[in-house]
Amino acid sequence: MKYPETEKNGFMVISLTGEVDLNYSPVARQQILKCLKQNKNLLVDLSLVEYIDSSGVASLVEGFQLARQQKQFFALVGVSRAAMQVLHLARLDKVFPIFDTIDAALASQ
Amino acid sequence: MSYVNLDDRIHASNIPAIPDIARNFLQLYVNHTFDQASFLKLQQLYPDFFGRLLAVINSDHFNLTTKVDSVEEAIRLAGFERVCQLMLCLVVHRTLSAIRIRGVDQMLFWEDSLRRAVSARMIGELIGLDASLCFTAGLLQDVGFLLLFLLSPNKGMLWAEFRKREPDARYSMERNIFNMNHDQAMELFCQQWQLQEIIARPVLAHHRCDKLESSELDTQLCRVLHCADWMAAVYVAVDKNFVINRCRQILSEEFEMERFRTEELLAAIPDEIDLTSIVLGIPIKEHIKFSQVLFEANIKLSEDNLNFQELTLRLEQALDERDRLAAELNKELGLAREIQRSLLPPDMGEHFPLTGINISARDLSGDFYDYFTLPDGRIYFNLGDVSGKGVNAALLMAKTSSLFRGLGKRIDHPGELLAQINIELCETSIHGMFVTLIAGIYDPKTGLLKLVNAGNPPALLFTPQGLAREIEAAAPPLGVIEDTVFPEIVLNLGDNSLYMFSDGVTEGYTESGETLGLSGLFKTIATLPEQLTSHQRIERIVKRIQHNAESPLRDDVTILLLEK
Repeated sequence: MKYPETEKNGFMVISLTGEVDLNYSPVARQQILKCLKQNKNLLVDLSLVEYIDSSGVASLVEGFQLARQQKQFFALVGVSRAAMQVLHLARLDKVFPIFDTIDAALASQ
Repeated sequence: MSYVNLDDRIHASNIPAIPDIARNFLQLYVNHTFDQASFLKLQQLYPDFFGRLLAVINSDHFNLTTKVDSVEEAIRLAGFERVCQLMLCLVVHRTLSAIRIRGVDQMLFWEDSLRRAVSARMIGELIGLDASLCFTAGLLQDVGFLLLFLLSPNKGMLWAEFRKREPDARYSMERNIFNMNHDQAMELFCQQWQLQEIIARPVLAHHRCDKLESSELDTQLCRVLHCADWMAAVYVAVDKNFVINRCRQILSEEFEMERFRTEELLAAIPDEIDLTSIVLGIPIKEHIKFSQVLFEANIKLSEDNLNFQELTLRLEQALDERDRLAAELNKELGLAREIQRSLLPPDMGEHFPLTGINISARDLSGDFYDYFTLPDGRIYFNLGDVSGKGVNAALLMAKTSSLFRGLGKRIDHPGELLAQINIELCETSIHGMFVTLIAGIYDPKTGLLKLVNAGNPPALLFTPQGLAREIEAAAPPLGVIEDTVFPEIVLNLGDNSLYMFSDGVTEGYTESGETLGLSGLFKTIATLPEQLTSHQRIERIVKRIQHNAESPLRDDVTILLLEK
């Protein structure tokens, strides 16, 4: 199992899908970290996420922390309603840079 | 600039030209020339060769009733086709075996070829196909294999390795090593020797008979050659059991041959090639007997069996080891569970303002709650949830809980306390794990309450009339970002009740299979009978998502209730 990865204007885009729970968050984590360790700027597309639990959010937090430390760009894009509810409840929507679309995220740079 | 290593080139020019004797004879055959003078002339030109040829024709191999003295007579009695085929066998063997190819033992190669030839002849006889044709095709079917080494002289060292493989494995190995197969090499040979019309079609197709679009005879012959290839491999391939079983399978599929018949044929090969080698003057070296083949096959079988027994033994040992480790781990988990439970505060009874419950969905919980009284009578409390599950979450829970107790005795303001804990957690952050925490300090004397919600689901403040207010998170969880500010809200608790809970409560399933949700929890609390004690009220809420003692929880469930 691997989440789709694409590249746009020098930014990597990892698209998480479905239920990002205890079973799948290690996959998301590994892909996010691998990408950041290759010194790439990263956008995580959450538009197709139907459910995300705290382990899934932890993968995003770890990516966010590593990017901050390495001074790389890390943002969430197209956050689905289900994912936004979780992020909002924990006030993490105030922590992560969040953009509606990939283009909007790219334009911010 | 060329990067091609000269040694790696296929040297098509290495294929020897057809000797005059064969070219002349084949010309007569193809043109259907059948006059005494032409044959006499040939016989006079190559007396030695034709002397040999006539000796073979007069041998038991041909089974003629009358002895023949001339080629013309042989053709008349044995048929032009058979004599031509015999000529071809002798010429091809004589021409190719005269070439030295480093690493290739030609004598062994021709011995293998003879095994194919006699195998093909035996099957041909059984199914009513021309035995001589089968023999010739069998002898020549793998000449392409020898040619591969002739075309790539630097690969000769691999010949012995190739010989040990069964036909299919050898075929794919050829593609990898030579970038071509022996049938393709044979095609070059057939072109050079103009054999296309004679036996080329079935010989070239014997690894893919189903693709051969030709006459019924060609197709039958092709299938015979396919079987013969496997029968001969029984004597030289390393994995004899596999090859013998494959032989039985192929012969049964192709010709409905019974198992015992296949074994009879296999067992007959050594005597057949001994005789044929003498008649044709093709020397052999190994003389492998079928009993030797069976002996080796049985040894291999018992070795495999031994390996299997050893494997079983190791598996049993591994399972024992696993059970032992599992028992140890369970013991450790039991200890961890005990330690974790000891981190929860004791129940202080109905007169104490705080009542809590923590039920873990697994062995270890990532949720926690705590309260303790300060010397001045104020009470610090918290309820938290660590991201993820299992041992990692339990350890982070223990760490957060200890920090809260340790620092809480020195820091008066919950917002400041959380900021300190947050810094500690961020410094040692691992795997992005974070803690949602709702914490406060309550003064029972004045009813004053200072509350901070860091990423936790909202606390519900209920009036005695059942009206509620949500106190949502005002800051992200602990452990995410160092310079977070945790705003406090200050209120008077009065006669109100403050329900704090982890997301395991709202995400729990009700009896109808739906998640309880915030609105479900809201309704549950609002409709609780007034006379219930705080313990009873918490139990009622838990019952909404844990219908009986056995029903599994989706997540850890923690509730903390504060009231006067």
